[in-house]
Amino acid sequence: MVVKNERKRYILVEFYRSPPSKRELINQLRNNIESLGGQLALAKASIHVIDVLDHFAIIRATTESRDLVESAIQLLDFDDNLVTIRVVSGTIAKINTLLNQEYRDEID
Amino acid sequence: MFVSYFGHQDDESLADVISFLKNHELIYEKCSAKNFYNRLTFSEFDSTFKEIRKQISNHSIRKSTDLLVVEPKTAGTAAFAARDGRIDVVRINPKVGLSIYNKRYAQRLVENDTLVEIDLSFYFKNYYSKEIRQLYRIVTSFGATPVKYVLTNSPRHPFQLRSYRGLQSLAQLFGIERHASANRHIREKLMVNRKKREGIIPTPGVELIGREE
Repeated sequence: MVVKNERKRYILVEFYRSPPSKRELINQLRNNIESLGGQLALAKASIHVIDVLDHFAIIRATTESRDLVESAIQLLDFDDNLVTIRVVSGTIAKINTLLNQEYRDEID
Repeated sequence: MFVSYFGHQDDESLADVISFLKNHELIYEKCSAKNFYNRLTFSEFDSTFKEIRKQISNHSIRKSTDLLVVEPKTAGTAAFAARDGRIDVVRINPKVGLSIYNKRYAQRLVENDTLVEIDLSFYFKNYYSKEIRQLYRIVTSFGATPVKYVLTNSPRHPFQLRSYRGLQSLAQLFGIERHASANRHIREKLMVNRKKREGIIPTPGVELIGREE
């Protein structure tokens, strides 16, 4: 039986303007993590951009490297775009609930 | 969202920043000047010790500002900033180094309940290892002294604002724990200063209850 040893954190990131493409986002994140912690930290972080929506992006990382990934998110630099971490959760269900609520508020 | 604040005296005025944030729908309409605060930074890199002392002793400054910050360059100014009750925050410039900032100085800051401001703007440059090295040496020299830190990235434009939690994670990379740089330190300081201005706290240690009503 395969046992998952690594605990994950799902980070919901909000963009003030339309977010960059998935590739652009992951490339810049990887560069930032590498410059902060090196190749080993990048490998340990095992970051993955799950989805990029209208104004949001969902990023997955390991719990141990949460702070490093959050730091890398702070250093993201897209022209005239403000990046904010909205919520960090251990399950993607909570992120989805929050996103659904956001969209419902927009429709209202 | 409590975001990092504008860190230098030559920044845009508060009204301009608020109007910019409102125009770009970055804050809600209900946000007013109450959600923001004024601060004055006296840097010894720009003026002399005499000038700083003269400006701080001016009573009208306190009426218009919530927070007084001093950035020392020499040991004399640093000692003055640590012992003077009117100064709320000492801004650390890593260039000064260990000649001023050491464990004894940290203890003095803790005794007088003065906060220590750390500028993380170097992270947003390309090469920052040199600056991190100096700052890391200062932070480690403070040892186990429970210094209260305030973090900023000295944004020059509202788009450079970052969340406080994000700055905490950046500071944690070189040894400043999250509880040491908690958001409540500056909130408590602001609350006390505002109460002093309103006359609710006439002298340190005395608070007039029911004065707000």
